[in-house]
Amino acid sequence: LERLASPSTWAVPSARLQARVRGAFIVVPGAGLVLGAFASLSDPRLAFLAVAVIFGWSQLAGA
Amino acid sequence: VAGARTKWIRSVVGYTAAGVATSALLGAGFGLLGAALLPPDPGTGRILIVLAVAALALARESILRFVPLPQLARQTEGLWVKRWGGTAAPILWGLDLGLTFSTWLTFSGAWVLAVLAVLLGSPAFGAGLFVAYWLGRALSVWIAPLLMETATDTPGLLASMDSERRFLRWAHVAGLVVVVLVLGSLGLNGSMDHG
Repeated sequence: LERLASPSTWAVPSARLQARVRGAFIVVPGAGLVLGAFASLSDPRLAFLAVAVIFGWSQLAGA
Repeated sequence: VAGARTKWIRSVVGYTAAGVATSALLGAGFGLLGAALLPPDPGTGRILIVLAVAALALARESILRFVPLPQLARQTEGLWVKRWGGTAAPILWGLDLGLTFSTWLTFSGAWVLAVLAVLLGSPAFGAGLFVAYWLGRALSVWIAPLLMETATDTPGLLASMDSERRFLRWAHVAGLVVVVLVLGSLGLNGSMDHG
């Protein structure tokens, strides 16, 4: 996605779209952290897998 | 519209599957490297090394943002879509980005995963770590259509993602805090197998 991003092509997003993106940026890693916390009770390696998902998510799809 | 949807799904599935393949190879390679170079039992010393690396990463992402990451200053090749077409290009992008370290890194967590995979010396766990990383990374492509109001919303979506980027950093910092806490707990217990 970042590869497509260029300031010359950016539009002003609607407030609704902005809110959706913000929600996704909060909910996805939040869910990962909660799941990871529960999973780590049975095996700490599962917590690392959950954190790996969050790390990948925060990198986003492009580069 | 149905044809476009099918094409989109085929592209994203190809992109994701290709990234899974190279991510698994990368993570397994890190695990194999550790298994080849290190004694089989990962003791407290190795846990503390990963803990130190994770603490450094946490410092970098929270207060030392000016510290550069070791990385290849490279983007994946956007022109592949012109050279290889819309079916093959997503697969090539997936293969490339799935290698994780072949393109720009925004944050330092991937290095923590690499050190963890090497020091635990398990190819299967290493593969799992980097496949999980890749699936998290590819997830944004999967959910992008759910966020957009119209099919032409891509520029607005990109602008929104850029303006909300601070939440990505906070998520990364939260992940690093979890790693530090879990490793600290394991260091006190002296084992990965407390569960």
